[in-house]
Amino acid sequence: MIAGATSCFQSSSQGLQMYGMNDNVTATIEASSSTETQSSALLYSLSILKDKVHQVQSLAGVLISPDHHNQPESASIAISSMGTLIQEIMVTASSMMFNCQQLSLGPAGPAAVFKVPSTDDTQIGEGDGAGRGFFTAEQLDWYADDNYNHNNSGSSNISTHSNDGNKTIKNSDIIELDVADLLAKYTHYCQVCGKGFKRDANLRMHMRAHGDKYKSSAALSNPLKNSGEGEGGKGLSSVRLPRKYSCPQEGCRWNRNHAKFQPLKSMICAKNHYKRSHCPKMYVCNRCNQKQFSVLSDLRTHEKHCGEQKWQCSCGTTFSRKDKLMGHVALFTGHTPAASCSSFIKSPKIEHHAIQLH
Amino acid sequence: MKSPKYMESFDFDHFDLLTEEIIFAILDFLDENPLDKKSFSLVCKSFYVAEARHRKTLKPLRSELLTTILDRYPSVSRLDLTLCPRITDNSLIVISSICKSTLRSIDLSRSKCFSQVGLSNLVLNCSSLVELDLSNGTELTDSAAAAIAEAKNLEKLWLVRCKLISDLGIGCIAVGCKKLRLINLKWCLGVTHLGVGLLAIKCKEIRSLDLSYVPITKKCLPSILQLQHLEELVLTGCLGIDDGNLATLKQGCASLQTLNMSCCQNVTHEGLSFLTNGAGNLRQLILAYGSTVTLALAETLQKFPKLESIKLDGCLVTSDGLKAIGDYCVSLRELSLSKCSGVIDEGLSSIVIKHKELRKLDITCCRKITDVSIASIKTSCTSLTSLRMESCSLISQEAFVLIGQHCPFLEELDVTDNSIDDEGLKSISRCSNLSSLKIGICLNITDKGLTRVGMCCPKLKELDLYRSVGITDLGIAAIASGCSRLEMINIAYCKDITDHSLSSLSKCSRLNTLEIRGCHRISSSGLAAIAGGCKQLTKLDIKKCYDIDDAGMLPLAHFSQNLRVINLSYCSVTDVGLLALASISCLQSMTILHLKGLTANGLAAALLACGGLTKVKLHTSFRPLLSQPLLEHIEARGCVFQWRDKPFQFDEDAKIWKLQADVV
Repeated sequence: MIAGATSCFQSSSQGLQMYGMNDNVTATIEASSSTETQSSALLYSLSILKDKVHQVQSLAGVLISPDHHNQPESASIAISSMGTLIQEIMVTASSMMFNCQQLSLGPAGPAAVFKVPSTDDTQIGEGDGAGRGFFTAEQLDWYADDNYNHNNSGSSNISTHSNDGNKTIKNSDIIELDVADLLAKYTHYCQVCGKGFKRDANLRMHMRAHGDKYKSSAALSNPLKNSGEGEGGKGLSSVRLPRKYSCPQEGCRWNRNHAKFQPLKSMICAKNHYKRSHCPKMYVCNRCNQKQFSVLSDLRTHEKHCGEQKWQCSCGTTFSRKDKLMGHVALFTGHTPAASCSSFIKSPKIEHHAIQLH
Repeated sequence: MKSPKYMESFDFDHFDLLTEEIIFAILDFLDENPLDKKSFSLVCKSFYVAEARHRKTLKPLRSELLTTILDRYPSVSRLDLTLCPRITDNSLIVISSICKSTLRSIDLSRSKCFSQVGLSNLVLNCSSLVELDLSNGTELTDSAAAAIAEAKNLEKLWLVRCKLISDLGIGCIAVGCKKLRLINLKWCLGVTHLGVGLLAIKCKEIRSLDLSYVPITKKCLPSILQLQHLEELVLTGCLGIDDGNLATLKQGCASLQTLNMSCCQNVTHEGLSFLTNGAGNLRQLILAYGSTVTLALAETLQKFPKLESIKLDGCLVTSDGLKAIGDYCVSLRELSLSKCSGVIDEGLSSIVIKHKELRKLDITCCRKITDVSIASIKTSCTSLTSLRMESCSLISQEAFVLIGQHCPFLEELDVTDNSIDDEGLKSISRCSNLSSLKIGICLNITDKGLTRVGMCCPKLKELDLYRSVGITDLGIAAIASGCSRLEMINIAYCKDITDHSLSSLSKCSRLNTLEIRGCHRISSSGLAAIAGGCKQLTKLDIKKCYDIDDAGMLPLAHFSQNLRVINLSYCSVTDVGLLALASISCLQSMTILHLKGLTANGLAAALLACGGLTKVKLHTSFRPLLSQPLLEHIEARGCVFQWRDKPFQFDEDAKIWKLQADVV
């Protein structure tokens, strides 16, 4: 199978121009598709990754070569192209990761036991899941080991995981995605055209453009809900445990290896947490020029009440409400309310009286 | 001829024997007429200096003269600037730099055009400023309040109608002026319970707190009631307070003496009892225009053994309630039921009988009262000093005779619009302490009664004979000769009054208010007589005296240097007369509708010449005739124009007027 897969991929890789085309090539994952398409998609992305890494290799050679100072333009071009390539690699890798997740969560369900690798473990796939074309050590020869330091398994049962301070049996799944997946812009990909989507519902909408068979109510319905019901609800839902998430960053309290582990409640929580805590803050508030955020929605929330500190005490403390300021002033001697002129709002009643009495 | 040696001994100035304190004591007696002190100061240099050092209060007419007069009077501690329409920041800076720490009290309640710049300078330099009146400062903002907060010694502060001051400003004042004893925030619509609460927490010395019409809620009441020295609390028109709110109050204020909760319709006896819980020192309770006075309310009054004054103006009163008030109150001195509906003989009599120490009784417009109540009053309240019974129409003429006989200590009596006759008036004249007598719209009195009043009431200061058409010159002459202390007289629409009355009245040298509206037989010669004799004349109303012309204005202009308010509508005055009036330096308010010979030019000239004008009421037809720059210039000087569109009205007969008034 492996030989056949590689020959297939080689032909396909020649036909595709990888350079500069980010999103076209990644494979889509459909939860209800057969295992074959999933594994073929997996191998597809593998070959893409292989090509890209080769290109990065050649570019790196250009950069590090001793005569780079003679041609500075080519160096800069090389750097920028390398950047895009790395991005594409990350995207492809994240799609592969998702693919793997789907494979593992497929028919086998959580009954499949995967050993949870420790943080230093470079081995990934063990156990009887190999038949489904999951990562194996032989296939991944050409990857540098560093790439896998951050890769932990997609999903695993926590029952084998021993937590120091936690003696009770956990009754939920703990999922830990890797950084690339967590930061991936698109998590759902169309298998037909390769377009990426943030949400499964958006992808399903998009699929309607690819033919009539996607317009059926079966195709349009939410797979998670339906598979739960379709396969004899009780059986699966009792087995399917509530999912909690762990932060991939080492040392973080929300990482499952931490002594005081607190699970994050959803994928979105995990995403936002990682961005907020472990990513650089790229967005700056343009009003106060001080607050920085890594999550855009946090910035929007801040903007809603930035610069609205109407109430100030003479000691410099600002308050959001007048009664808080008054309580503070009442408590301490020598503090007086300081008049801050920004947004002095006259109530309409006062204005009405002002008009009348003049 | 004496020898030179002997002559030298006469160079000794006897006045040098008088020390300054003695001179000051003499000068203290000259307070009545401002001209007296002026004359004193003009005698010689030493007198000039003595008077300059003596004067403590100044009331200047012009802000431009402030520098010179403040230099002349270095010991001025109180500055009353209500006559200066325009006080700018510069003026305040001048005041502060000259007066420095001698200034203790300043009244800026009618001044405009100053801001926090001048105020902060004033407060900075005048460190012993104790009283500050900034009422009507509608332009003052929180920054002005922050400036006020720097006056560390401030004890009394008036901020009536300062609408733009908010909780922030009051908070600054509360923190800064720790010694505050009196603060008046009436109509400060920007202040809420937060500011007032802070005031109550920080200024523990407050004795008097006026929160009329301030939009507060009950949240500040607990801290207010915890003020240990609070004596007077005014909560007129605080609609945010009602019974439900007041129920949560835990304790009242033990030091409270006066509580005014007028116009609080949402507060009944329940709320009141919560508010006054523990206020055993309460002396005066004012509940005008509030909720119905019932038995329950009267029962709450039991808790106040020291209660002596109750005012229930405008409330609906039940008979039970009134009786109960009589029963539960210990010893009332003052009772006001003015315009209360529901007051009948039964209730009133029962109160009056129980409270023999009653001094002041007001039953204005209690139209159901009859002689029965008067009988009770005359038997019981013999030490009555003030009785107001306007429009008690059911009371007969004999009752007034009884009043005069049995209440000899009356000082103030108002029987306007009653059926009193000469016999009653004669009886009343037995009250030799009478100082204020209002017998307007009393159609049955004539000169006979009035003559007796003139003979027997030498202390009379105020006499109101508005539309009492039976009065003629004889009565007025008697009054004028007998009541030399007369200060105010109103003989409007008394048709038979002629110039003779005015020449008699000119003997009353203290007369300051004269109203002779609608007296058609009065002419300029009478007015000239008044002007010559009554140098203190301050307010003059000669509306509809058609015969008064320029000849009357000239003596006024010459003699009446104290004239401040004049109403000339419908007179035959022309431009000349008006311009002559403009020379009166303290003239502030003019009403000049339908003047016979007034032209636009004359009006403009008069407006320009009269530098101290603050208010002019005139006809709208002049508005387009005066140039806009002129109007703006006059307004910039501090004068307000009131344009009226009233058509020329002829006078009506008094009786017809009364019938119309009753119908309304």
